[in-house]
Parts: sequence; C-alpha cells; structure tokens
Amino acid sequence: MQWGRWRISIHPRVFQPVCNDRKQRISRNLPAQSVLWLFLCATVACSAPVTDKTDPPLQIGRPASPQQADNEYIISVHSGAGSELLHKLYDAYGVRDVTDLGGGQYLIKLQHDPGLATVKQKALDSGKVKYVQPNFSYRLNRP
Amino acid sequence: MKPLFSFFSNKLILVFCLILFSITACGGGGSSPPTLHTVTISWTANLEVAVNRAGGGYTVNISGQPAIDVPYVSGPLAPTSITTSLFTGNYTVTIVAYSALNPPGGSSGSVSAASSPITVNVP
Amino acid sequence: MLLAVFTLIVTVGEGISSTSVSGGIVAGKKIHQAHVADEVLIKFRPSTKVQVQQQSISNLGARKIRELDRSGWVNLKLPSGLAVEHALAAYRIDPNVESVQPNYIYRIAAVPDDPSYGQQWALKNTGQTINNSFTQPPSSPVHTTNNPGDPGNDMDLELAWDQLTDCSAVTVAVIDTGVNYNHVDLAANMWNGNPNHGHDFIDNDTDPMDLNGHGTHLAGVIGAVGNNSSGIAGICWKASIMAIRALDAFGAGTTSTIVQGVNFAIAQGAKVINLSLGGSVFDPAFSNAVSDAQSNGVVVVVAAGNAGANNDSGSTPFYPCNFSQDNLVCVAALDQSFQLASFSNYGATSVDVGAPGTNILSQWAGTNMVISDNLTAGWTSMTIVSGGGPAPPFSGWGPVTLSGTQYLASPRNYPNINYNNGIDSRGYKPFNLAGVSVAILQFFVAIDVRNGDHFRINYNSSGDDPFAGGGTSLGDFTNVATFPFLDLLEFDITNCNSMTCSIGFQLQSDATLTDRGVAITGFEINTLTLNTASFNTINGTSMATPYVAGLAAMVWSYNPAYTYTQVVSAIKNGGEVATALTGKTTTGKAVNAMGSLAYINPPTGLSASVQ
Repeated sequence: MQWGRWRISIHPRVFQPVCNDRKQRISRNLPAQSVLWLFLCATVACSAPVTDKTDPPLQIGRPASPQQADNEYIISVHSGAGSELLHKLYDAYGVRDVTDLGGGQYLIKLQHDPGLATVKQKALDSGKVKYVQPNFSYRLNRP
Repeated sequence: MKPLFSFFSNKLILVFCLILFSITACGGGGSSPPTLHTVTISWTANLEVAVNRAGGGYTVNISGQPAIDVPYVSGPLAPTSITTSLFTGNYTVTIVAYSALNPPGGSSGSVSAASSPITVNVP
Repeated sequence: MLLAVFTLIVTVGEGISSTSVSGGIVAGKKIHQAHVADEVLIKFRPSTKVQVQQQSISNLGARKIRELDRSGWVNLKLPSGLAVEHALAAYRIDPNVESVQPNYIYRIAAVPDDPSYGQQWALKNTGQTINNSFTQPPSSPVHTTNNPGDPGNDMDLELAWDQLTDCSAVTVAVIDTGVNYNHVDLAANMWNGNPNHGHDFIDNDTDPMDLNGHGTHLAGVIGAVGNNSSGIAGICWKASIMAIRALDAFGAGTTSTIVQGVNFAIAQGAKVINLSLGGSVFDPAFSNAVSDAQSNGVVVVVAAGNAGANNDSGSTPFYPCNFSQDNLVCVAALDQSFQLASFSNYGATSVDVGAPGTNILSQWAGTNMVISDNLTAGWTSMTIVSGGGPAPPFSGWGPVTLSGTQYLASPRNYPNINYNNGIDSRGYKPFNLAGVSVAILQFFVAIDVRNGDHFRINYNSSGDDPFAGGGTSLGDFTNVATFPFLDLLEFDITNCNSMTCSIGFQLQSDATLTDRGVAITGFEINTLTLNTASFNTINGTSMATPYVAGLAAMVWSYNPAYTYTQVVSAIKNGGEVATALTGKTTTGKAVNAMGSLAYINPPTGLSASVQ
C-alpha cells in the first residue's frame, strides 16, 4: 500500500523573522506583577498563561498553488528520442525512475531537483524535446 | 397545278408554326422553350438506426415544389437518392431525416434540422 | 409532329414541373409512430362482399393474418418490398375500403425493480424527498436545497429504457479511485478484461480495487445492474465498465497517473472515458492525452468543478473542462429542481450541459467510519530532558483552547511561551483500527519549529509510545514555520491495523534557540471497511459526469455506426432546455436520454446531378 504524505507548504507571508530573544521580549513587555507570577509558576510548575497580545489567531491556511509532485517532471520527446536521452540529460541529478507514459511522453523522478527552469533549459538545449512540465497533482474535488 | 390538300396542308403547317412562334415570342422575347430535365438528388445515409427502419426516412424539399417523401422500405438503409424531373431554372434543395421515435413530450416522431442547402441549376 | 406540338403547348400552358418521381412519394404521408414494418389494418365497407374483399387484398399481394373482432378490422401481411406507406396510399383509394392504418406498436414504460430506484430522482423525478438512509460519513447529511424537487425534472430514462437497456457493446472507462468490482450490484457489469477489470496506476499493478469509494459511486451511476431486484439501476442496466485507478485512497493523483489511465483506456478499446476530476493549471500532457482520445474516436466526459465559479473568467479555469477538443463534454451539476447546484462551476463557453448532481445515490466501496478525538482526554504526555532532570513547566503535550477551538499543543501553554531547549516531549493515544481496509489520519496543525528542532508523527500497532522503538514514522518536520496558519496533514495509517493503534506526536529540541511549538486540531481518523453491498448519497459535478458518460454509452449502443462527433452532438442537442443553464453553458440544456436517442443529425453530403 502506498502511503500518502501531505507535504506541509511553507508560506512566505507567514515566515516571520527569527526572534531569538522572544522570551526575554515577552518578559520585558509584561507588568512587574506578571513577571513575578511567571517566576513563581516556573518553580511550582503551574499553568498560568500570560497572553502575548501581538500573536494573531490561528486560522486555516491555503496550500500553495499550483501543486505538483516533488522532483518529478513529464518530458515529451521528438520522434526517435527515448529514455536514454533523459538519462543523458539528467543523470547528474540522480534519475530514480523513468516511466514511459506513451505518445513520446516520459515521467522522470530525480533524486535532486534542480528546478523547472534548469530541467527545461537542458531539454531545450538538446533539441530533441518538445516540452517539459511538472507532474501536476490532482485531487478529488468535493463540494 | 398542285393538289388542293397539299396546298392547304402546307399553309396549315405555316400557320401553326407562326402560332408557335408567337407563343414562344410572347413568353421569352425570343428565348428557347423551357425543357424538362431529369435530376438525381443524393445524400449520405444518416447513421441513426431509427431513420433506417420502419417509420423512418427522408423528406426532400425543392424550392417551389411539393415535398418528396423518401421512406425506409427494406434492407439496412433508407434510400439515399431520388430522381425527379425539373424544368429549367434554379432550385434550392435541402433534406431532413425523420424517424418514428418520439422525443420527450412529442407524439409525431422526430425530424432533423435541415441539411445545408445546395443550389441546382437546371439549364 | 403535329401531335408533338400540341403536347408541348399543353405542357407550357399548364406549367406542371414534374410528372414522375422515382424513389419517393410525391406529397406522401410519413408515419411517425412506431408500427409493424410489413402489416396494415384494414376495414372494408359493410356492403363489401367477401370475394371483393379477397380481391382487394390480393391486388397488392397481401394476405390476411387475422380478423381482429366483429367490428370488421382485418390484419394484413404485406408482401416483401411493399412499404406500409405505399400500401396505405393504395388502399385509401380503394372504393371498397372504409379505413386503413398501420399496425401501431405500443409499449409500457420500462420501470426497473431495483428496490432503491425510488431514491434515484435523476432517472425518475416524482418529487420524492431524498433521505439520509444511505449517507455515509463524512458526507452526510443530504443536500437540502430543492429536496424534494420538481416532478419531471429528470433524464427521462423510463422512455429511453423502452428502446435500450443494454449498453455493454460500448466500454466506459472510469478513471478515478478505482472500482469495487466485487460489489453485488456492479460485478456483472464490469469490463471483461485483465484479471480485475482494469488497471491500477497508483500502485502499478493489475488490481484497481477502490480504496476511497468515489470511483465505485461513479461506476454505479453508469452501470449498476438494472432490474435485478437489488440496489439501484444504472443508466445502463447492462454495461461494460473498465476500472482505472489513477487516484489513491486520499483521492489524489498526478498528471502521469491520469495520462497513463487515458492511454490504457484507449489501447484497451474503451469508447467513453469518465474523468470526474480537475485542476486549475493548463496541463499539456493531460491535454495531449485528450487529443489522443479524440484521434481514436473516444468521447471524454469531464466534471465542471465544485467551486461555484465561472470557468470562463480567466482567473478560475478548471481543466480538463477548459480544454477545447471537440470530443470533450464538460458537465455542470443540477439539483432536483433543475437549478444549477450552488457548488457547481459553470461557463458559457467551457461547460456544455447540466446533469443531476445533488443527492445522488449509488454504490460505495464499503462502510465509512469517522473516529474523532477532541484532544482533551486519553492522551499520554511525557517529557524526556536531555541530560536528565525534571521536566520543565509546560513541557509535554496538553489541551489548549484558543478562540473557542480545542487544540492539542506543545508546549502546554502554547503559544504564549516558547518550548524549552533540550527536551523530547511526546503525546500519544491508542485507537481501535482492527479490521478496517483503509485508515486515513488527518488533522490541522500550526507548526513553528525551527533552528534544528523537530516535530515528528509516528504510529505503533502495540499501543505503546510510538517513539520508543518499533514505531513507524509518518513525518519529520524541521525548520518549518506555518504559524498562524493551520495546514491540513493527511496520512495513510492502514498498516496500523490493530485494536491498539497508538498515534503520537513528538517535539524534540536541541540546545540552541526555541520557537512557539506545535498546535493540532480537527483530529480525525477516516476509515473504510470494504464490502460488497454499500451505498452512499453524495453531491458534486463528479456525480453529474457519469450520467453523461452513461448516456454516451447508451446513445452509441443504440446507434453503433455513430462517430464520436455524432455521439457528442446527440448528447448536446438531445437535451432539454433548462433556464438555469442559459448563458452558463454552451447548450443551455439538461441532458435527456430519450431526447438524445431520438435526436437525428442533419443529413450531409447532399448533391444533385442533372441529365
């Protein structure tokens, strides 16, 4: 049985600058009484939360779009070219698998993904490739 | 002296020719009389089963003429041609196919949209 | 010569344009109602002697089959080659005949005996209320808008079934999550190829068993065995359904699995392909696959999508619906009053027709169950401190309520204070997953774990700490920050098939720098236990699509000489006008089975030759 791992997507808009001294920052912003309470809690291991009013509430995120399978590309080759061309073009990135999809189209899976632009450029430079595209992901569309 | 009959028969022929000439002259300013031609109209067989069985067929519509029904008779296909006679002139011809199958709410069978028209020039 | 002149004058004077037609009847009368091809019914005038009657009959080479009753009607058999219309015309001018007519054919409307047929409003809408009898989690309850709907808003299948119920000459490929080919109401209608009626491009084997349910539902709409006193009826009571698994248990697939599925369907002789899926990006390889299908004369039926969006807008396209090949039919969803379903996409140039798509009852792969957990009780929490020592305050995993929503979080006062350095905090709980065929764990999670620290998810069938050894890793996240956004994670935990499947979360930090930690909510385990007799009532343009795929098979079975172009034309032109679709689809029509069977393409190839 194949498992399906849903890769978490990093949202640039929510990646916040690292705040190394966050604990100290919270302490500096709190009233003196709260700092004392935190100290007491730290020694008796009680739960007395101190709210940080700068944190936004949690909310459901949206996956990055478009979605595609990582390290996988579909490459359509001109007549006469085959899987050996793909090995020649991409062995440097570790070709894990080549699947013939029919009609001169192949799915390649790479160990190391150089990115769509690089994969496309190498393909075009060979003069034997019609097009390169990601292996897009599809999901059941339930209302 | 010529026989009287032959004198009068020649004159009769002349009169008839004059009458004929005047008739045709009144009709067309001197043009040739309209002639009847045999015209064969044919088309590609529709692939609907219902057209090609009892209750199915085609209707040929020729401009200015009564519609011509071409029903299925026997065999795998309804007829796909007819031969008719048309006088000199230009005619627009279309055909429709029909069957006995009723669409929802209908009770008089189905008729296709008309074919693309063609113009037939009968000289 | 004189005679010839007279004839010519007379002809010109009267202006008759034709004197004879061969191959047709001048001003004849067409017979539109179905009738016996070589019989007529005739009634002689009361005064007609028997010998005269016999002479009238034999004049056309006919013979008497029977006298119908004392009213004087007689059933005649016509000689071979004599059309009914010709016989009628001849007998109408016979002075001895009072009345003559074709021997019309009458049929009762075909109604299947499947016990749940009454819940299939798409096939016969009586204004029935669709109930929750067959809904399964997580899809219940039923769509309530226009439920019940309006009688008559259906596909007129009962009229169509009078003509045809067996579409098995046309194989329909369902490219989806697979099909439970063992279902009692589907097994007899599966394509008779490969050992298991199709192929699996997810696991790359020959077993397309459905581990989700969706594909089985589509297959049932197309070809549930009809009139077998069991379950429901498909569009086609007898069918040939090819199962192609291109989507996994989550309902996820890729360009490659779908393209391979399309190519397989073409190579194995499918004439219709059902694709109830789509995406927002133009996919050249997918488009090429549809073009290959076109070159091979295959009709491809696709879903419009369920975002309630306009596919023509440019900003929200939906492919393959928005592909332009002419073998493609894109389907929107209608509700029980033939209104556009609220969730259905539409498009005046991209979406072609509407079909029933709400409260659709059909087969399902098995029994669904949802195991929810409110994350407040039963979770074991422990913290191991690097180098030993007591667990710091708030370390470990515990329930946290934020803005009224319950979370399981670490640290236990999330998100107020960062977690500690040098800790290994674990939270786990056992769940009973014994006997299930598929188990999908899903939850929403906000992660803020960076600087060399880890958030891990494991499971263990023994019920113990899944991080203590012998556990199976589901995920290991490091240097990830989604806060404040909750992302959905899903994992297939089918292999944890025991009564004590322990699911655990671990937050492990090194000695340098810390962050907010992890918060989890919406924790569910969705299970499927395969069986051969389940059903489900669900909604979507996914459900509308197989009604059109089944109709394509029906039309093509009825007219086997059709090309794909004519099948598509019959589907599009044979529908009934639905005002809700005006301006929202290319045809403005709801598909109609009887309309499509009765539809006649305009004749072509008209030519004339003058002699």
